[in-house]
Amino acid sequence: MHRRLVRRRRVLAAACCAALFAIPVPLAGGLSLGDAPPLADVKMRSVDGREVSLADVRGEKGTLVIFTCNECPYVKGWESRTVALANRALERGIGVIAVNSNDPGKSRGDGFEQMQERARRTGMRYPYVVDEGSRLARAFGATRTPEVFLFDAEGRLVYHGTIDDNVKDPEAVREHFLADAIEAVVEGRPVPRAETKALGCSIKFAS
Amino acid sequence: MLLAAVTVTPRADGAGAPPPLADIDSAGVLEQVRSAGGRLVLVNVWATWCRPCLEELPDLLAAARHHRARGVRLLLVSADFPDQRDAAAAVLARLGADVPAFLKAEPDMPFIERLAPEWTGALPATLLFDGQGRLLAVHEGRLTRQAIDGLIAAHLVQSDADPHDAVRAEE
Repeated sequence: MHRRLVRRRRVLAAACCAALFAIPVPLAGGLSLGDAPPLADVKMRSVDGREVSLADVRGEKGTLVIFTCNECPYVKGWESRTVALANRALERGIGVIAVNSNDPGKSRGDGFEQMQERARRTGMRYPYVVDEGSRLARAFGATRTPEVFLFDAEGRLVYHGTIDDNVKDPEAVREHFLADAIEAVVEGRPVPRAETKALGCSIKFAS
Repeated sequence: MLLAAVTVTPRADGAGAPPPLADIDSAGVLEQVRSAGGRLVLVNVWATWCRPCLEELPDLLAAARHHRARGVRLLLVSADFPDQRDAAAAVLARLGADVPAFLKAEPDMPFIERLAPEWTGALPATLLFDGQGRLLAVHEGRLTRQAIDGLIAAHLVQSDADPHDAVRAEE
């Protein structure tokens, strides 16, 4: 009996420990399709010195939120395509905001001046803001860069995921996930593929 | 397609280039997991440009050595682009990696979905499988040595335990 009780305690202890390492639910604590953007009124400092919120950039047709950073090779691989898509989306009535949630203390190269330089160099025509304390990333359930969330005109999440299916070679892209989602939102159609994934750099969350 | 398993070990004299990492896809990873001969298999996906990946690799390798006798195996998959294949092998050689190591050769989305649908794609990622290739846990971000040991201990104890026996004990 004693051995059984010991074993039972070990099972319970294992269950408790295993729970600590349980498989997380996707977007745990974050957004699901159809959700509104959280913390929409929180002001964040943009590279041009303004304080900007998600509500401030909301577009007539929708809103694109891009979690990004300065140094990630995946961000860099998609950079010119992402900026071009986002600038084009702006022209078509979609508000755009790029968000850097990395703690600059943990990620060299993600300081404010480097953000300003990157915004200038890449030709972003939309705010590139500092997510102090990684609050927005946590509220969204964002985990990596780049990671995009597209909301429709009613403010409902209709696309979450990546840019396209080939970070390395723009000529080899076969699936233009974000471009197709933007097109659908602009035209008021359902997004053909609402959730996609790609590898990316983990967000260096502020403690 | 699985091309070949490569165990990366530095030459004793430190000379010469490390062996290149073979390509692997998700099916190959699962095949490796099932043939590893372990009770638990950690699959760590890393990249040379990923600082938290480089920080946790020594701890993963040390933990794998420490727990090997208990049936724990480690498999490393570099998510570097193909032009960084040699750089990835060099990193592992410098660390004295003595475990099978590969280079991811499959588009991201099927690789992620087939291995661990719960994985968001963030690196580093450590996927824990049992010896039959069943996914037990997913961890994104850097693991400390303490967390690695905790993860292994929790799942080893669980696999040791017979829940039916526990229920009978309850009765």
